[in-house]
Amino acid sequence: MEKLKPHNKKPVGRDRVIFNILSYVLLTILSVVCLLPFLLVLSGSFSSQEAIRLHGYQLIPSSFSLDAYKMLFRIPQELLRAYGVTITVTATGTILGLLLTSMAAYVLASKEFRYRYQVSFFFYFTSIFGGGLVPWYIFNTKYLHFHNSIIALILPILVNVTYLLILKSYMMSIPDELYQSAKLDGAGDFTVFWRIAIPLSKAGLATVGLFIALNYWNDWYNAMLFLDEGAKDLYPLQYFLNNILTKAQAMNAAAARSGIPASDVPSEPIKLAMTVVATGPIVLLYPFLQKYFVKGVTIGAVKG
Amino acid sequence: MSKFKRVLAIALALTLTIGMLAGCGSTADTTESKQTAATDASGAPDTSKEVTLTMYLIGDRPVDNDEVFAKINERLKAEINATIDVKFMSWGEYEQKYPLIFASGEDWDMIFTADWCFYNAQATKQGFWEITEDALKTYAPMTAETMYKEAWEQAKVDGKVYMLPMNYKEVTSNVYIVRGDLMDKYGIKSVASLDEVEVYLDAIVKNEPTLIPVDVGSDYDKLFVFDRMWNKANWESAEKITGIGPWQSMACVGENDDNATVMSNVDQPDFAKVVTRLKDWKDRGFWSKNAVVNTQNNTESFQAGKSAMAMCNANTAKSLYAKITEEHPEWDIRVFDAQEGVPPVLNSYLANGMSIFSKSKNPERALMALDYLRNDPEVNSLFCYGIEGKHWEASGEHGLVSLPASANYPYDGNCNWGVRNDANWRTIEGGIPNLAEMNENWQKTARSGRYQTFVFDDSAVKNEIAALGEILNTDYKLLALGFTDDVEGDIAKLSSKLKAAGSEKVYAELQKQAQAFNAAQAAN
Amino acid sequence: MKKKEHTLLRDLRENRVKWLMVLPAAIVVILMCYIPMGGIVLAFKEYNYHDGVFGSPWVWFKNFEYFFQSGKAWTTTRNTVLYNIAFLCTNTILQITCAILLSELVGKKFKRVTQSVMFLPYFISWVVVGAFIYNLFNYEFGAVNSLLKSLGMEPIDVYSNKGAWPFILIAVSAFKNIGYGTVMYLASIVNIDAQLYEAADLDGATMWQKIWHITLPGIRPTIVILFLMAIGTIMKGDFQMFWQVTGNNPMVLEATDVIDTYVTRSLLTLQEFGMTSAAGLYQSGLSFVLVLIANHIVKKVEPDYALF
Repeated sequence: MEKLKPHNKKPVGRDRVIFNILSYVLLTILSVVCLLPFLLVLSGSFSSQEAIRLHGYQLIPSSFSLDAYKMLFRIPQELLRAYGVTITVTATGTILGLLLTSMAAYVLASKEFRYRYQVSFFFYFTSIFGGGLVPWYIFNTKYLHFHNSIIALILPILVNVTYLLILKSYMMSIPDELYQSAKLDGAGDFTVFWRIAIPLSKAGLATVGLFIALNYWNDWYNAMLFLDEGAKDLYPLQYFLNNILTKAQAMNAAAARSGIPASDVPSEPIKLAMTVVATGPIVLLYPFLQKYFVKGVTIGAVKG
Repeated sequence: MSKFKRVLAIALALTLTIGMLAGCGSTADTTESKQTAATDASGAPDTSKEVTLTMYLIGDRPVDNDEVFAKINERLKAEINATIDVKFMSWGEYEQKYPLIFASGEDWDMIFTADWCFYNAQATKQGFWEITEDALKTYAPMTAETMYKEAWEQAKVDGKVYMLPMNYKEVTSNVYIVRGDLMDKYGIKSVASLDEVEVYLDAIVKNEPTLIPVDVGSDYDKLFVFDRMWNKANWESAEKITGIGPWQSMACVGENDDNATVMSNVDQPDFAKVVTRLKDWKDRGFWSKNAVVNTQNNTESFQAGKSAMAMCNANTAKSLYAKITEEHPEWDIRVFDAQEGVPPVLNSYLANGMSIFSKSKNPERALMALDYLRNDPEVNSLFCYGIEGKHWEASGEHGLVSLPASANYPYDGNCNWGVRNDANWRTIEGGIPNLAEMNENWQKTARSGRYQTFVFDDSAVKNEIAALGEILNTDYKLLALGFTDDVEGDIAKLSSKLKAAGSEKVYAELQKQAQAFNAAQAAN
Repeated sequence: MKKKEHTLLRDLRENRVKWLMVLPAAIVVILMCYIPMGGIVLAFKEYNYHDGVFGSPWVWFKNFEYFFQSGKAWTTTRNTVLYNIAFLCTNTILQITCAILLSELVGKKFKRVTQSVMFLPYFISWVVVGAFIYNLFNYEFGAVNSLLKSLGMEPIDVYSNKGAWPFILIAVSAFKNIGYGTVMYLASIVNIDAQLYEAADLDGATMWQKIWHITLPGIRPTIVILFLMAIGTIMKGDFQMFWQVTGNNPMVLEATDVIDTYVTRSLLTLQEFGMTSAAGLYQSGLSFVLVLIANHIVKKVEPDYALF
């Protein structure tokens, strides 16, 4: 453990004291700014529709109501299944995505790879130009048969070019000599990747992994496009929640324009309860990754 | 740099080749569906082959949907040897998904549509199967007989019909809902005209600081007060000014003007008067200074006790009235006619309807099925209200009582709006005491305007309409809520902005088509 | 030319493991991006279902007209670019500061809590953020004005004040992205060789010197990469943010309208795929030119940091 805190060995200087005070003050302020709205969300989700309309968002709800949660948990099995789908898709997608992204990033970061600029460009190009929704949708449904298939939830966001290039930049900071010495020992590219690049870029992998996981966790768009009620079992959490919310808005908009009956869903608290339900477990992911974000641990780990 | 160019070339070439491959596939697929239900010698359609038709509806599957459709299918099977398989597109996604299922190559047959639900857009993109008069007579004889002529005319896009509009005359008449307790407190007897509304709102502003007099919110609300004032001014004008063309164009025409000169709303002398009054109302605090960004419906605010008046159409008022009287009997809410003698608008028949997919494998059979859904009393009632005795009970000839089980198949709640039929329509008795009296008034004044069935073909001016739509959503809406410091100046500015966006081209096109329309009407 | 092809073939053979390692990601990108990219032609066509993407009639540049005709092309393009630059600068500085502070902190619990808390805004959707802003700044009932009134001051009307919106948007953007970006820079700091710090300690360097001479140069590649990526999307905007937070408010549009919001407003009811495509192509094309220039400069200065 000593190794983790090399700075503690010597007496604490004045610069560090100032620095620490500064850090604590600044980070505390930022944390409060970030936490406060979330607390408002939390308390709002336990308010009644009327209370929010009347008083706006309050830290301490003026009336307590579980209506929004009752609405979301009306059919608990459905919500639990949606959680299950989301967790499965997130886990599968993250592992697979991380593997594909890191392999490609390793190659692009390798100075021995003569075509690294061209291949990087090949990837980067797609983040600027796109064919638009309709052609994309036609191709995916007609030729890849995404309709009502779980692949539709995984493949479209499996490889994110931004993350690929970020990971590449992390991997480029690994000293070349480490690769070279492994190569001299007769290790192939994949072995070098697996044995050296992966352990040395843990922080980068944790970051990119976290981002990929968040993307999967929050994705409802692909589910909306490719799933219909024939695949209710595959509805992920965010889609499930999003449906409840947008339904009320869309129905009311249509009702104002034609003679159809308006909806009567308590949309305000639901919006907030949704945020709470959807945030749930994924917030707990971060503390797990925390250990990869400790300074100075990487080289030490390889040396040790 | 040369290295780079080469990469670029490779990338582009790759894109194009692969793109072409994908493209070839998609064009090859678009062959016309073959006639499967050819008519036999006697003229009756051939229904020897059993088919399952897929019908898309908007909404969530009601719990008892399958039970109801089992009954519908029983009858359809016996009559036309076809059954319907219903698919639902949730309210949360229909705006995105609706156009996509036309492009996806999925196999389906019928869909709900409406002027607010992509009818024009899909029709011009050849998404719907054309319903010719011959087809209607052959495959949908009951519909051919009962279809309102205006409805048929309205459904024409570029001279062709792609929709069976609902067979249901609906008038939109607007009402104000106000707090009886506050009326009594300030000695106000009636809130049935703009002048009376002004008195009521003024009393609220002066005496009830915790209330927003009327909490204008959604897009619909934003034009509500303006529309009341504007429609009244137009109705009382000598030329009988009336709106014409797509709502983005902000155009109007005098009904008495045989030359059909199309003008901009903005250039009318009454427009400035209306905006001046709106500005006065806004300045006095009748609605929030931030009304333009509010997205809550004014009715929701009213219901929550945040505002003193709600404005909505009579349909919404019915359900609102029942709910609020139950929650807040102490408010003693009262409903007043907001029409002020202006004839209520006869809703477009296109407000709801059913269409057939252009790539349906059995369009004729789909048309036959729609014929039954619309006109057959048994099938129509099943679709609209559910199973008699389980979900509802008849009450007189045109009334209905919902039974508790209707929670699983709500009255008029299964996207059945496209097949509503006057011949078979039943209403639930509403709770508003003076509704019958107001209804009578509206029926008396209701009329079809000269341009009621005029349909504008916008293909020549799409770009301009897009640009005008943007102006409507911004500058026009601001004026419609009285947000201006200089009425004359801002109207002049708006007017020149419209011209820059190509309004004159749109109006010329409108006028040309309106003249042609008048000529055709005269010839009939 | 021929000689070059030969080397590519040889490289494919010699470095086949490397090529194989890129292959899976490349296949995904080809399927999800390159093949549908053929749909760009829609920008020049009037799409109909019958003829499909490639068979629909050509209209060439007609789909672009509505955008340029409106006179909004310049304002929205300017706003989009300026906002993105402002977001990029503010967010980068804030996130790097947080990352450095967090990396140097010793208190484990404090660190864990702050970092997790900073991720919370990421989960609050823009719809909800928009509702919060409305509740804060509403003229009659907003929290800010209630406070001002109770202090005996004049209420302010933010929703008709153009000048306020750039600041509000920059603030909410920083708020939403702080957790996300901080982690990215933190991971980069962690990757810096610890020996460098140890050596600096021995030389008696102060905290500030270490940050200036070791940490900041150490994360430079990440900064450059993120900067280049940001240029690639400089013509796009976080649509939901602009739409929901400003409430699509016509009174301040001049200061808040970006290309995406303008296009959405115009085409809301028209459903013209071709026109949407045209706007997208305009954005992509401009971004692409900017990226080529930026990348070229980076390559001149520091070839290793270039994107391609």
